[in-house]
Amino acid sequence: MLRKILAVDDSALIHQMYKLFLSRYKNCKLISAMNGLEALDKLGQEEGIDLILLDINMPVMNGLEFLQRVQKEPAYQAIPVIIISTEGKEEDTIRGLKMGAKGYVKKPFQASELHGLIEKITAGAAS
Amino acid sequence: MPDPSVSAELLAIYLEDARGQLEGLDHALLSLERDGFDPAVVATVLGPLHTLKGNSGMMGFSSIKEYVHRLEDVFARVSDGGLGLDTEVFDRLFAGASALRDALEQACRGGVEVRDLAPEMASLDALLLSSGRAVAPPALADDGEPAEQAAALESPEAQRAVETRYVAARSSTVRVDFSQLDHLLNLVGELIIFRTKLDEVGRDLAERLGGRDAGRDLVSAVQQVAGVSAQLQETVMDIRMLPIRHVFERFPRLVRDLARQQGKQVELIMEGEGTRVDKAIIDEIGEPLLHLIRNSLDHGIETPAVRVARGKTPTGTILLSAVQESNHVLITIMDDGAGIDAQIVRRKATARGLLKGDESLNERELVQLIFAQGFSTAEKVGELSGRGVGLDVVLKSIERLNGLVEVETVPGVGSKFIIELPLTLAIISALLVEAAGRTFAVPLGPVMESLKLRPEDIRSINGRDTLRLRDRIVPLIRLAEFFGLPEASLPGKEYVVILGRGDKRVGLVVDRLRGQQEVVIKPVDTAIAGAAAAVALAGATIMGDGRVVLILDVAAFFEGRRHALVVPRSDAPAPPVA
Repeated sequence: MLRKILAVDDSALIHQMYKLFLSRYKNCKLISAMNGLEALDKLGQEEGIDLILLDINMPVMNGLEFLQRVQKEPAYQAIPVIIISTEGKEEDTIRGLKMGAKGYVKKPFQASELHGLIEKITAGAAS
Repeated sequence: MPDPSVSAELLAIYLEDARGQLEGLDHALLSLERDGFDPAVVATVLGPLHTLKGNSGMMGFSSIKEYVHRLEDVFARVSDGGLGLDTEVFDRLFAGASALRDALEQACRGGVEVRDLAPEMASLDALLLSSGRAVAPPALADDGEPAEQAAALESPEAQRAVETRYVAARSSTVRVDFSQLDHLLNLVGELIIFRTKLDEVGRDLAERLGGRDAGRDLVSAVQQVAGVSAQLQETVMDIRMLPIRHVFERFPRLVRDLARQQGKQVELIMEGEGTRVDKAIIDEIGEPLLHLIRNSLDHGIETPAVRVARGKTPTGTILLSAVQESNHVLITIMDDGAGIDAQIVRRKATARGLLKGDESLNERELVQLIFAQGFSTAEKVGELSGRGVGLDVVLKSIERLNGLVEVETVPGVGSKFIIELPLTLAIISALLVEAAGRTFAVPLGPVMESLKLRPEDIRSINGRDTLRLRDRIVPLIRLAEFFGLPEASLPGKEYVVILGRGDKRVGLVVDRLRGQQEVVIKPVDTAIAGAAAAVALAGATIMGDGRVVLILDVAAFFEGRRHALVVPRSDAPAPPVA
């Protein structure tokens, strides 16, 4: 069951896109954070986040730093992370995948692509 | 692609972000050009550019996305020392930033890309090629090594740095739609109106109750409400304020481009960028300021050769400063250029029929004529400056904001334009006057003085009543007559409010002065706004007793706009004068 998705991105536009793409998707609740630190904060405040959509290139704390911290916390380790990458920073995506991210989508992405990947990853996490 | 019904909203968000990102790019380029290469400055552009690239991709703007990608490559090359920053590189980057801004604005207007950035892209590719490295980005099959970075993050210093940032980064801000703030301020305005009413009723009741406790309690409760609502008003106004930096930011780039284009050397100094002004004013003040700065650059600052010949430094200076003084903001645009020659102004004004041969004006008055409609000192219309618009447009925009603009100049030394603006447009100080039994509010800004009108001071010149005020002749306008209201006043019992605009004066004849008051401006319905402007009305306000009072548009009295309508009926009959 997918209940809460934490979306981490420094772009207001991408958050708006998530709202459009995910608002009617399986009735899940969308939680937004503008950078890694805010995202850590949200993880502490919100119970039961079961998926993280993560941008890499962000001010204050980037996605890789965030990912590293999440992977070290027993309480958060199990939450699947999807990297939302932008062309030109492929090496960061690879690094993120090595650090434990479950998959990635490249901007620009379509709603169907995102849904497909979420489906696949959450199904894998449940089994 | 996003659903078309929501794409307007997405476009707006995209555009707002993109403007900020481009502002940052301009800022970094200017700083690099001025202070030389600094890796920290280059680093500040990379993040925003990357976000802009991702966003542009999401919007389907592939040409913009590709171009931003190229820009990232160029900055990466600059960063690793592969590409030196010389004039040629700066020119290409500045031109590219302009083209990008242009492409972006156009794309957001219709939701599809219009401008092809291929030529600009080729220009950057040439830079990359000359820097001697391949353009192709690495593929995703690459084998990265995360361990090193992970180790670096574990050091105690890194840990502490992250923790400090964590504490500092707890966001204490929220984004709010401006219309909600507008609505909030409107509600506060109404609260203040009713507070005044409550105050009156409270005093009245307390008087009737005599010295009884209930009366005293009521008065003190009303005072508390008054105190809190005043604080509430202040807080809401404060929320609407933004630093004027938002406007100033774009000028360094403009000055640089204009100066290069005209072969001039100009340094722009900005002061008081942190001065806070109502957002409604921020939104409107950009154009007039832009115009005045262009004016200083086009007509003020001389070419280096001329400057040197005049014993000045080859580089001219434009000072742009903002400072708050009580409830006003003063914006000054000062240059050390050629100044304005009053005699040239006289010749041009006469040639354009703005000045009759027999009118005698002193030098200061002559110089103010540059703001007159139809006056333009430009011999030829410059590519950026002119657009065929004169400074009269600047004057009009500033008056629309209830502001004033003045010019001081010393030929050969320089000019100084001073703009005085209210801190907010929502609440103004007004002088309440009465004519033909109705109350009107006159914005206090242009009110120079008010005095009793003695019949013996009135002179009729060419069939028009004028007043001799010290050494000048001031034309009189009777407010009741202006609005076609029956005149009820008795000669000898009238007052005159002297209004000023630049060096011009007009006397407004009224029956009574009712004192000064802060009034909340309720904008006139747009459907009748045109008609309202034609009859010299800027808006309306509601008084404590619920009466609607019309606010006069003072500019109209100077332009000789005449009324075509009787005054609207919204003004309920005034209570009998006590």
